[in-house]
This record gives sequence, structure tokens and C-alpha cells, in this order.
Amino acid sequence: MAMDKLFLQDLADGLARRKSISKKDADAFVRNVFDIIGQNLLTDQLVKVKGLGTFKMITVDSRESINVNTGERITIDSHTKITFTPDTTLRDRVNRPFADFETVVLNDDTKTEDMEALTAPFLSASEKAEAKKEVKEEVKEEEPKAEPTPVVETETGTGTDARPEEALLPSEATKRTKTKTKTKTEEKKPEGKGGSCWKWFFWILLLLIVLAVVAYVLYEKGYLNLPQAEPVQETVVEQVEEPDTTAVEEVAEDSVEVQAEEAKEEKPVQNLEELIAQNPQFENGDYWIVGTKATHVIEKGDDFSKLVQKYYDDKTLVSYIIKYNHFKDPSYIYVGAEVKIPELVKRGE
Amino acid sequence: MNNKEFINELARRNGTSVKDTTALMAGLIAEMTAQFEEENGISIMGFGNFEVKKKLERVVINPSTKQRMLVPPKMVLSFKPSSTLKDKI
Repeated sequence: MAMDKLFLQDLADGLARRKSISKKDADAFVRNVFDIIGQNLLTDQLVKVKGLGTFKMITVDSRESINVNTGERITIDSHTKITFTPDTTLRDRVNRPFADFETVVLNDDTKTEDMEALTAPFLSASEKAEAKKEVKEEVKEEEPKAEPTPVVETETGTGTDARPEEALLPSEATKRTKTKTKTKTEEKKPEGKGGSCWKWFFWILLLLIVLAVVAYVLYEKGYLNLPQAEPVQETVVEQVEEPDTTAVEEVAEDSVEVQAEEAKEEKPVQNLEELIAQNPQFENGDYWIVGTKATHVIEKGDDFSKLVQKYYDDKTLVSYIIKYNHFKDPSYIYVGAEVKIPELVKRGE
Repeated sequence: MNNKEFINELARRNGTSVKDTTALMAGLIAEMTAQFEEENGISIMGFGNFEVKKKLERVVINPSTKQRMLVPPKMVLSFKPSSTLKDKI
């Protein structure tokens, strides 16, 4: 029934049903209602109907304007127009689906793009899974992978959610900004659920702890990050005491890995060159590709120009996404495909 | 014209008591509200169209404080007078 267009007849039928009167009477009644409103609007300029709202006639003064097509100055004559202001009860009933939302003051550092630039939790987990595989192979390989974790941290810091995009009402993002802590726990849950994920889960945990410590030492500002990170870590550790020992054993087995981690924590900033070397680059581009900024799951209606607009606000950067994903035929993207959005750094900086 | 005058006029025209008219009017308002809640529009010939519209969320800036606010999306009821009603003005 939704979004139908009803006519006076339908209203009269509804009224007849509600008040158990004849359809003829109901029809005459409804006609009279709108007749009276229309007539008295002309004579009184204002008609108030309780439960419905206020109809008003307003005189608009003549004013000058410009014809948008020709650029000529034109005069809009003085005229009267009819306005309708719904009753507060009616207005609230109509708006009931959205009644829970409130106007939210945005922080200066929260950008609207951030709210949409999301990383799905499972994806970030798999990113780290990749990271771990490569740790075992080479120490150097590990360093760039330090990137994904800080990225995740800053995202949560600004209140960005990491749940997959569901073509959600943007206002849901609003809610999330309000409830940072909630969001955090929600993020953690999906990671912990899958039994096969335990191993990865621990590595992420370890990484987080090490990162938190290093961040604390390195930056004075890092103090701000800690209160956010700590409670989550602690609860997680409590939940999973038993597997923790196995994780420790694993660490002991491969002491190289531990060293690798430490090495990478100590110089998270200096490895730009290695990041550049590892990622596909354009010979003469303006930017270096240094890692994955986000992973975007293609939805119906997405195209590359929308992606770049969303993640970079710069339409010239399409080629970087194509390059980074090694697309041979960029026209071939499909709904559900995962597109990695590269983190870009301006060259010469 | 306020609500009382409106009901009186309606009662006079229909030849019913004010009490009955008020009850009928409440029924009509309830019916209309129910339809609007289902996002149905109502078109009245010679009067105008009622329509439920969805407004998207938007960011507004308070010019004096420079504060940015996120205004949530909402559903609003809009009314467009028909051309016959406009012509009478």
C-alpha cells in the first residue's frame, strides 16, 4: 500500500468504515471539509484544523531575480501563495520512523567522508592474516603491514564504524559517532566469533598491545589513544585465557617473528621507501601508493568515479585504484567485488 | 478561521450536531494520519495534493559559532495547492 496515491473517494470510504456511516454521507462530509477549508482560506487568509494543521495565504512581495538560462534580470510579481503547516501531532506521526534521531554536533576532525570510508571487520582481519603469513617469510615484508593496524586505530578514534556498508541510512553513522564504545565492542565481536579465527585473533591482539605501548612511548599525544585501546584489550584477554597460552607458545617457537614485530614497531614512519617499493607505482604519478586505506565492497550503482569521489574527493585518482587492484579490464567490476582503496602519499613529501 | 469556527460551519452545512461533526472530523483526521503514516499521498480534486516526502540528512553550519551539525533525515508532510485553488486567489 505504501506510496500509493489516494483520492477523496478513498478517504470517504475509510471514514465510512471507521464511523460506520453510509459511503454517501461520508463522501458528502469529506467534500464539505475541503470545500470549507478552500473557501475560508480565500476570505480569512487562514484556516486552522485541529489534528491536521494550518492553511495560510501569504503575500509574497515582488522581487528581482535573474533568469538562470539567459542571465537576464527579471521581476517576479507580487503574488499570494498557500502554505500548509502540519499539526505537531500529525508531523510527529509522519516522522515516526525517524523519531529517534537527533541533531548531532560534529567534531572538527570528523569529516563526512570518514563516516562512509569504512573497513569491514572481516576484511581488516584478513589483511592482518596476510601480514602474518608474510612475517614468516621475511622480516622486511612485515614492516609495511604495520600500517593496517594504525589505520584501524585512527578510524575508531574518529568514531568511524568498521561494519560493512549496507547502503545504510547515513544517519546510522550519526548514531555510531555518538556511541564510540559500543561500536568498538561490535567490531570485536565478529572477529572473535569464528573458531578458526582464534589464531589470527591473537596476533591482532598482540599487535594491538605492542602498538599501544610503542605509541605511548613515541607520542605524548598517544596518551589519548590508550584509554580507548586498553579496556578492549583487557576484556578480550579475560575471555580467552586458555588459548592465550597457545599463542605464547607460538611466539616462543618463532622468536624471529617477535623480533620482526619489535623491529617494525620501532620505525613505523621510516619505511616509506619500502612501502613504495612493495606496492605498484606509476612512473610519473603525483602520489605514491603506500598501502590499503580501505576495502570497498561494490554495491549496485557503484562505479570508479563514485569511489574516488568518496574516498579521495578527487576524480583524477581513478587510475590509482585500478593500478593497485591490478585490474586488467576496469569496466569489469561486479556487485560484491572487493576493491582495495590504496593509501596515497603525495610525492616529494 | 480557527477550529471551532470550522466545526460550526461544517455542522451547519451537513445539518448535524457539533458533537457528531467533531467525532466525524476526528475520524477523518485519523484516517488521513493513518494513510500518511503509510507514506500514501492524498489528492483532493480542486483543493490540492498532500504528499509525504523524505528529506535526507544534511550537515548545517551555525554561522555564528561555526559549529557543524548533522541534521538527521526525516519524513515531512507537504501540501501543494491545486491550480484551481490557486486561480481563485
